[in-house]
Amino acid sequence: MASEAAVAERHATPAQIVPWWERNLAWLLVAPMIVMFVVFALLPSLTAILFAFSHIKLTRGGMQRTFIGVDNFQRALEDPIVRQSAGITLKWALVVTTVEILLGLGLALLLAHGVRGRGVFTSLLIIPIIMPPVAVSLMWFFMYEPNFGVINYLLNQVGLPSVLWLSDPNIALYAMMAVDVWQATPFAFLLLYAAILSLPRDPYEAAAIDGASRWHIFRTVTLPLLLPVLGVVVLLRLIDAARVFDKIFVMTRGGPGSSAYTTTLTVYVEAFNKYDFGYASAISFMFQVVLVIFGTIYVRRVMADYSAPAES
Amino acid sequence: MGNAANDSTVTSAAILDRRALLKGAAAGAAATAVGAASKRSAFAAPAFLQGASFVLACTSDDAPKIQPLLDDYQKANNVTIQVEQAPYNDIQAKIITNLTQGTGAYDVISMDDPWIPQFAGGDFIMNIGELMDKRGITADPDFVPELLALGDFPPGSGLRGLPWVGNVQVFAWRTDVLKDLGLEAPPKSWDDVLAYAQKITEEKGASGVYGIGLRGVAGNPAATSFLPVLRGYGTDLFDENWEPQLETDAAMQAITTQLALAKVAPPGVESVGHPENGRNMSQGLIAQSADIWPDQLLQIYDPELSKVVGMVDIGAEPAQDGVKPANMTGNWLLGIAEGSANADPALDFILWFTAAEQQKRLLLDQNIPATRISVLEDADAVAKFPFLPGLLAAGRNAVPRPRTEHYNAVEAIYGRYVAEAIAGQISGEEAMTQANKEIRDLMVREGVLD
Amino acid sequence: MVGETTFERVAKYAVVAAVSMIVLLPVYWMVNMSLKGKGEFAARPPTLVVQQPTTENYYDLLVTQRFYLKGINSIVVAVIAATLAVSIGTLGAYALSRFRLPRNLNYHLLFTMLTIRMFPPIVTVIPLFAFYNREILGFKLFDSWLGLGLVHGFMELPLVLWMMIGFFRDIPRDMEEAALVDGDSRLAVLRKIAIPLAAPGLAATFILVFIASWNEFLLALILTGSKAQTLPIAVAGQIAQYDVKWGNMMAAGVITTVPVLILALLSQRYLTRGLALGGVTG
Repeated sequence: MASEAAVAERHATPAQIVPWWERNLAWLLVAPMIVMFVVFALLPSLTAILFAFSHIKLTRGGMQRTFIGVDNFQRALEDPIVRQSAGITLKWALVVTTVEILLGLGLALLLAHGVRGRGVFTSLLIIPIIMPPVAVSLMWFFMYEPNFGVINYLLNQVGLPSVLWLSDPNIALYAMMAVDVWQATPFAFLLLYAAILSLPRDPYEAAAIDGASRWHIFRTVTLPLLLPVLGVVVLLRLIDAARVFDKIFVMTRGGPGSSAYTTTLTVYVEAFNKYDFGYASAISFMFQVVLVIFGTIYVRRVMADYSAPAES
Repeated sequence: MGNAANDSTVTSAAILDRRALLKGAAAGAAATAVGAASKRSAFAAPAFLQGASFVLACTSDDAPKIQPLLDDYQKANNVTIQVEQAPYNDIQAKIITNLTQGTGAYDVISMDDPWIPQFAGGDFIMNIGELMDKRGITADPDFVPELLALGDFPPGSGLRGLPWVGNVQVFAWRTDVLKDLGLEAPPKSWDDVLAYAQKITEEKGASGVYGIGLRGVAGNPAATSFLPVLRGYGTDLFDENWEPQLETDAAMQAITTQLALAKVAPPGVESVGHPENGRNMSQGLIAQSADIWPDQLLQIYDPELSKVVGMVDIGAEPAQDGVKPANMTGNWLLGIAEGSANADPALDFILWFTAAEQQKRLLLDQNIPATRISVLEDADAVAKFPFLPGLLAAGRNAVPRPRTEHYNAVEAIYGRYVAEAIAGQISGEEAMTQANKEIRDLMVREGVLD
Repeated sequence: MVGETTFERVAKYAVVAAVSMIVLLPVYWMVNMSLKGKGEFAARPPTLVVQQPTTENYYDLLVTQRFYLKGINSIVVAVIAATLAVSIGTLGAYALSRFRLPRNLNYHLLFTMLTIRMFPPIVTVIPLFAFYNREILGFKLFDSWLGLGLVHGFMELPLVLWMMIGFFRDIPRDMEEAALVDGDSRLAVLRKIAIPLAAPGLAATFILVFIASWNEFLLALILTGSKAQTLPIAVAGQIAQYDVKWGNMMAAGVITTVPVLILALLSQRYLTRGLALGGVTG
């Protein structure tokens, strides 16, 4: 780098003694970040692994740890709720991500030619994105209320029967997915829209001269160009959706029954309702391994996208 | 418990009985001491109370009801009380994690009686009995002795809390509905309850009256609605050796009955918890429920809140032939977190709060059932709530939940499986088999069973 | 691109209108209900526009139930988190965009830091809960502003790094080099040139971290007890009362939303960039 050459040149002047901290400035600048990583990610993760191999009993002012080998993992693999919640988590992540991406992408393509009042529209879409999930959950919980919620009221007005949105085991999970879709579709839209607006024009002009159909243009031009951003958005939504906790916790606590227990909920219940920290750590550790795989792909994508300047 | 100087039998006594308490009272110190503590509010606060401040943790159900009393106490004593509230499951989790880790986040804690073995056994809460001994105070014999004894665990080790909500689970039914359909009240066995429930829902479901109300939310709610059925079939969660009993024929019959009942409960039973079940009763939506608690009963009898005043009667839980009917306790006690820096003002507050005057106020104004004999027999109170003497009798015969320090984990297990069965995720048999296995595994891991 | 037909144009505005309604109506309904008194709240059919607006729900929540204390907690925690993440992240971002560390560490370090973004907090929260309850120098991090602020700040480090590396990239190198040749130290250059030029971005990043901390639920639920409890946790605790105070709950929803909404609109220009790292959701 040129700047470093400049520094080196200056440092070469023998009259100037460069203090140690300036010689090692780069390390000093990244040091706090690394310390934070060690304290809040590395050590807790190692501790979680240690816990996962232990039976833990809460005692006054601490905990008593007994090493039990892989018992917790074995138990987790046999535990029906662990399997079930992994399935629900997967279902949740796949369904909400698919719906959000499709809706967001469709809307972004529809508005690709620009739209009057775009500024107002995008500002509006920011509201769900930044709303606290707890507030969103309360809002929908109230609208879903079977007896005086506004949704059943409207249904009744047009002659349809009331629906038990959050207590019918066949509906509750989807009703909560709808809340997630409400909150996160604008997020997918904003990112994809920014990407579409910054696409190069030339390929489109070439395609137009060739007289290609719209679907053909979408498939051969738009989609390939959009793919890197699309990949990032999909991965990000998958990872976030798989970690869902607050919405389900506030609206049904994983119910009815255990039909909305996601892995995070299950870990919470094992740790903070049954106080089995060792077992909870084992489940969450396995969960983390899966997320790390997806997470690594995501970060690689983000960084690839980053090094090729594609600012909106 | 008790003033050692006056009552030498107390330390060795395994069970608190009324006689022991009365003996303590005869010595005289007790009543006056508690009286003094409660009277303190009327006078200037002692020096150590000036500007004291502590945190009280309770359920969000209770928080608004006790607030008026807290306001008065704070004003009179220059004390600041910060109330921390959350729904049952959450406050339980918060309390347990905070107590076990000795965080000092809470000072006064409102505890459900099944929590006591864990809290007391692990020394997570202070031995109030000892604190009171130091001040020369004895627990007032006016407390219903059986309720007071719930705070003494392991039995004879001293009080860990004073009862402030005298809850006992009762069976409640709508006299008018049963009479209307020519059903003999009350149903004696669970077979009767089920037959009645099916008939009522069949005949009156369309007009919005269902045969039964129960709780289906996973965890404590579903567990608490199921336990009386299980016991009504002559078994319990554990035998005397802590061997789980959910794979027995009786347990299978119990879950079959519970699931059949859930089918004729108002739709949405899967998300019915304590507040909803009470509301369903007081709004006339359900004609029977084996999971009614006095706080709900008081709402049901309150003309301002209820549509069924005078139409509801209560009694012992149903039981199959040859099984002795019983009720279950569910009292709330006030205790002090071990490590609290505010133990003195906290104890003052607890003594004041559980005194007869406040108990009566809670009963009459806030529909919170008292834990004191004098209040339950009080003329004003009985005039307003004629079932109080019956409640007192039921409370004195009530059985607590299994007194093991692992009860919370046990409840989380079977409470989830019962809820899953109600939600139709698994069969009743699978629920019982799986719950039995997991509870047994838990007891083995914790070293209770081999 | 290919031109639009009239039909498409009509369809487009119809969709925009429909989406706007779907987004706005639930929020409108929450605000509407939060302003109703007890009587109007229960009215059937519900009044579409509040007839006798009252602040009683807000008063009851904030003053009577002392939720203002939770609001203060939320603000302080978010400010600590944002200050911490922005200062540490900015220094790191500057180093990563101006120095070349050996062994391709620039890449690996950034990579590692960005993976924090997908850490499930449920994994680390159990050890952190245990760790926070140890006394360190006579102080416990559990249930303290600092404790929650620290972990929130840490969770948002990837966002700050990501944003700030972008901003530092946009700063023309010539200016910094000129200053270096003039004899300024690197640190002086950072202070006098890079940070002032990146200031708007810095402020936006601060706001994004603030919002993320304000909204966070799981860590706040477990790592606070009573003293440092934040608004979302207190609000969620309202849901299970015998006599559910729906009006209060709606007011609580509005109270938790309004501050972040104002902040988000202030930093809207930079939001899309921040969103690439999903800084404020999840």
